[in-house]
Amino acid sequence: MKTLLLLTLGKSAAIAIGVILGLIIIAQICAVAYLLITRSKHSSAKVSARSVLHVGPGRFFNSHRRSAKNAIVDTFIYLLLVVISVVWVFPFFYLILTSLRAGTFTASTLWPKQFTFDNFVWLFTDKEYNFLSWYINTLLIAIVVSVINTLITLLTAYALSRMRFKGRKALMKFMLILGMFPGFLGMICIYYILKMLGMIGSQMSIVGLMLVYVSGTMMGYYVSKGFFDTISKSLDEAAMIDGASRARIFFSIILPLSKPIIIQTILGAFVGPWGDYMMASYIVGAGGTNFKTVAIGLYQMIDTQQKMTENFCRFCAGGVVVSILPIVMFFFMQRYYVAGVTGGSVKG
Amino acid sequence: MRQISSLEYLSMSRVTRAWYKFLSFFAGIPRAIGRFFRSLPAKFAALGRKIGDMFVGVWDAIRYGNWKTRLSLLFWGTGCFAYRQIGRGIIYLLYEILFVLFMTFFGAEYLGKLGTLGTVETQELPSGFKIVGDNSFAILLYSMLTIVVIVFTAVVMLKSLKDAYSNQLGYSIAQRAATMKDDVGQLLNHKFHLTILALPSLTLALFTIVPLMFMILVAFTNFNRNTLPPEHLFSWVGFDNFTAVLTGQAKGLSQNAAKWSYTFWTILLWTLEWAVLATVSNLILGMILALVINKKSIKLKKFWRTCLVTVVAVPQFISLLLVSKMFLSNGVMNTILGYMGLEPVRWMNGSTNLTKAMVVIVNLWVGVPHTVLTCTGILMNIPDDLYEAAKIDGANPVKMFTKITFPYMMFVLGPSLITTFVGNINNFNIIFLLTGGSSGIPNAKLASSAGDVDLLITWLYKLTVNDSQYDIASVIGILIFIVVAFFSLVVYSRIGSVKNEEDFQ
Repeated sequence: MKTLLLLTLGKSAAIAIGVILGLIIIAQICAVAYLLITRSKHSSAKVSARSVLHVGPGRFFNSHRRSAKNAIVDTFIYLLLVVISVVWVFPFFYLILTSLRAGTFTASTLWPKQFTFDNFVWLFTDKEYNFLSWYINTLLIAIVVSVINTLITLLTAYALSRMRFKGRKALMKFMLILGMFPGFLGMICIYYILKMLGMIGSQMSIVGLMLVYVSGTMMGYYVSKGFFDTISKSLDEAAMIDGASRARIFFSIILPLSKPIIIQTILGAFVGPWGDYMMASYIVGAGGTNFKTVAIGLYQMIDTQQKMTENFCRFCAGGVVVSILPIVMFFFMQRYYVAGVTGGSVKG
Repeated sequence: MRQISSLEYLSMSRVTRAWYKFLSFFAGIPRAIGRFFRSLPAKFAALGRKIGDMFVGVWDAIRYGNWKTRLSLLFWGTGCFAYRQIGRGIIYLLYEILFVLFMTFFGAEYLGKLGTLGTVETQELPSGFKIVGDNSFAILLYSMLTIVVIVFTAVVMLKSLKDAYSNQLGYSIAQRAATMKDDVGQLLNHKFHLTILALPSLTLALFTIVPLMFMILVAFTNFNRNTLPPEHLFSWVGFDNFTAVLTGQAKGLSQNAAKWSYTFWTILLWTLEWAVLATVSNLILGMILALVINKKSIKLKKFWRTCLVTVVAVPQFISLLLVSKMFLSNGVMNTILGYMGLEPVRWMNGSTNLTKAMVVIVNLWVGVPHTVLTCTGILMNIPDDLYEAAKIDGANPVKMFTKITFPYMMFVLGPSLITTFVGNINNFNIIFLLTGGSSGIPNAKLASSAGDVDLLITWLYKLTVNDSQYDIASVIGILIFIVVAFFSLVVYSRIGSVKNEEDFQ
C-alpha cells in the first residue's frame, strides 16, 4: 500500500513540478515586466503634487512618465495578451469552422475544403435525434428553474441578511455542513423516488429534472446575502420609523436596489441547466430521445468512435445553436454580472 | 515548530521570514485541528444547554400552568381556544389530528420495519400468483420522512404549549391575547422571516435533507444491483462497507474488498493533487492576467477581457467535449502541431500523467476567466486613499503591491479559495467530459468501472449510474464529505481573513 502510494506520488509529483515550472516561467516573465515598469519610478524620489493626485488602484502602474523601458514592457504585455486571447478563443473559432464543414469529419486539416449549412439543416430535420425537442425541453427547464431558484435564493438571502431571529446562526451552519455533501449523493434517492412515481423514461422526467435542479437551491444564498449585507441598514431603520413593515421594506426598498444581484441570480439559474451533464444524464440519460436535454443529447451523439466520425460536424453545429442563447444573455448582462460577483464580497 | 521571539523574527532576512511564515502556517494546522476537537465537548455542551433551554420553558409551563395550559399538552390549541385565539387554536388542533392520522396510517408501519428493512421477499408462485412483499427502499425512505415529520411536530407541540402558557401569563396582565389579525400582521413584519423561509425550507427538507439522510443510512446497508427493490430486500450490514473501502478487509461482502480500498486510496490521492494543482494554478495565472489587463497603459481592456470571458458564457459541456475531441491523437491539436513541424502528442491513450497534465491545462482555460473577472472587480474596489497614503509615506510600487494590493486581494479571495478548492474536489464536468475518467489505458487493479484519472466524484457517478453499487457509492459520498469538511476546517481555522474581518472595512 505504502509503496504504491509513493509510486503514484512520484508520478504525480512529476506533473506537478512540470505545471508549476510552467507557471513560474509565466510569473517570471510578468515579474520582469513589472520590475521594469517600477524602476523608472524608483529614480524619482521626490513626491510631486501631481504624482500624489495621480495614484490610485487603476493607476497603480503609474505611467504618466513613460519611458522607453515602459514601452518595451507594454509591447511585451501586448504580445502576451495576443497569444493568450488567441489560445482562449481558438476552440470556439474551431467550433464554428467545423460546424460549417461539409461531409464526415476528419481532423487532418484545420480549414474545411467546403463550407455548407447542411449540418444545421440536419439538426432541425432529423427525426432520429430530434434536436429540436431537446432544445425545447432545456428551455422549459431553464425558465421554470430560474424563476423558482431566484425566488428561493433571494428570499433566503434576505431573511438571513436582514432579519435577526432565533436559530439564524444555527440554520446557516447547518446549511454549510449540508453543502459539504456531494449533491449527487442525494440524487440516487431522488432517482428511485421518481422511478417509483413512474416519472423516469417519460415526458414527466423533465419535471423530475426540474425538481432536482430546484432541490438544493436554498444553500446557494451566500452571494446574494453578501450583496444584501452591503445595503445600508439605515435605510431599513428610516423606513421602519415611517411605519413600513418588513415585507414592505423588502419589496419597495431592498428589491429595487438589488437589480444586479437579481439579474445575476436569474442568469446563473438559467444557464445552469444548459451546461449540466451529471444530474441530467442520470435522470433522463436512458430515456427516450424526445425527453432529453441538449447536454445529454449532444453527448450521446458522439459517444462512440463511429458516431463521432459521423456526427462530429453536426455536434459542432448543435453546440453553436445551443451556445447562442447563453452567450447573448451573458454579454447582455455582463455589466451586472461583474457587479454581482464582486459586490457580494467587497466592501470598498 | 520552535516559537521565536519577535526580536529574532525582526532580525531575520526577508526570505527567511517568508519561509518562516510558510512553515508556521502548516505547523499550526495540527494544533488548530487539536483545538477544534478539544473544543468539541464544549460545543456539544452548549448545544445541549440550548436544547435544554427549550425545555426549561416547557417544564415551567407544566409546573406553573393552570388546567388550560396543561390540557393543551394533550389537545393542542386548548390554551388558545380558552383565550379566544380561535384561529390559532384551530390550526394547532388540525395539525394534531393530521399528525395522528399520518402516524397511524403511514408512519408507524414503516418506522416499525426500520430495524429489519423488511422480512417478506416478493416472489412469484408457480401458480402465477405474486406475493407482494416488503419494499426495503420504501421502508427506509418513508421512515426518514416520518422522522423529519416527528421532529417538526415536536417543535410545533412545544410551541403550542408555550403559547398556552404565555396566554395564561399575559391574561392576568393585559386581559387580551394576540388575535389572528395580529398574527398575520406579525408574519409580514417581525416574523417576516417565517413567511419567506417557509417555501425554501420545505424544498430543502423534502429534496435535500430526506434524500441525504436516506443515502447516509444506505452506507450501512447492502443496497446494490444484487438487492434491488422491489424484487429483493436489502438489509443492514453495519460498518462492513466502510471497512471494505478503507482497509480492504471485508466480512460479509462477496466482492473483492481489497480492490475497493486500492481504488479508493489511489483516487483520493489524485483528487487531492488535482484540487491543489487546479486551485493554485488558476489563482496565479488569473491574478497575473488581471493585473496585466488592468495596467493603466494597456489599451483595449474590454477586448482582452471579452476574449477570456467567452469561455464562461459557453455551456461547459460544449466547450469541454469540443476540447476533448481536439486533444485526441487524431484531433486538431496534433494537426496544428504538424503544421508547425512538431511531433504529435498522444494526450489520450498515451500515459496517465500526460492525460492528467492535459486536464490541468484545460482547467486553466476554463477557470482562469472566472479568476480574472473576480480579481478585476477587486482591483477596481481597492480604496484610492490606501495608495495615496502609501505614496505620501514614500512607498514604492513593489511595496504597495506586497502591502496593499496583494493582501487586499487575498483578503477578498481567501474565503472563496476554500470554495474553489472544494469545487475542484467535486469538479465532475472537467474530468468526466474531458476524459471520461480514464486516460484510455486499462488498469486491472482498479475496481469496476473506475479509471486512472477519476476523481472521487466521478467514481461516485460511475458507481451509481454504471454499476448500481449504491452501498459503496454512499460510502464514497460520506468520505467526500469528510475530506471537504476537513479542509474547510483547516482553512477556516488558519486563514487570517476569517478572523480579522474588520481589517479592511
